[in-house]
Amino acid sequence: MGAEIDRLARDLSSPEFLHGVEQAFWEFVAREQDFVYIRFHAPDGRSFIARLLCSDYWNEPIGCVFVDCTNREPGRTAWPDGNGKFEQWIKFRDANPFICWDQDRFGIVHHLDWKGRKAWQKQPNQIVGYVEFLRQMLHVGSRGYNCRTSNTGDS
Amino acid sequence: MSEHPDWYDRDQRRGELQTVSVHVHFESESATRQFLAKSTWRRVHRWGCKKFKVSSDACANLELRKDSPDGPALNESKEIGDHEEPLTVWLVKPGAEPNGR
Repeated sequence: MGAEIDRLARDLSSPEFLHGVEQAFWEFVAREQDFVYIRFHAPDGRSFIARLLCSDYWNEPIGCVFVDCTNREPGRTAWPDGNGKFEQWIKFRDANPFICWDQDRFGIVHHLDWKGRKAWQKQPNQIVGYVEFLRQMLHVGSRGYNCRTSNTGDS
Repeated sequence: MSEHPDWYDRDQRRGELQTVSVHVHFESESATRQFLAKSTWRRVHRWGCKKFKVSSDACANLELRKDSPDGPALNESKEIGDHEEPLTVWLVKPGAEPNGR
């Protein structure tokens, strides 16, 4: 098992990652070879599974696609949707949806000038930095996620 | 003779009315209020915005963090929960994230 995998295992068991699990922002689903599957819980009760490509972890950015919650196959219907602001990052309408962010491997393909920034190394815990970004996309109102139900009222 | 009817469960009722002291910070301001333990953090968020006169647009751009501005985020769908000690939270604006637009 390579050093980058050891680092990934350490980051997945870090207090920061486990805090997100405890808060029900996300949950660890599986790790299969270079892929880590994380389920995200949106404030409207929907959930989405992100398949995170973590090969050459730390040296390379993580690459995210959302997959079907049942069969874990990629597809446009597996992606969260939102308004125009949301779409600045989450290109869910694209024929091949991707995340347009300078810490996403597939986003960087569209903006090669981002690669030199190595923005994914801004935080020492790379995967927590990534899942925190996705959490904010779903939970911070101004990011424009399409909250579908009224399951967000006060109690 | 009991002052309550038979169906009244005093312990359960006490649990329902359990309150928690929450100290809310926003920029240089702060305020404290008692919230029901059964309230969600969303209620704290909205109360803080009202207390600190944050516009609704700006309020939607804030999130609650525990203990410090850089502390872990709190899920606003979750209940505050039962705590004996006062809690400290910060209303903060998440950092900007670049995108390709």
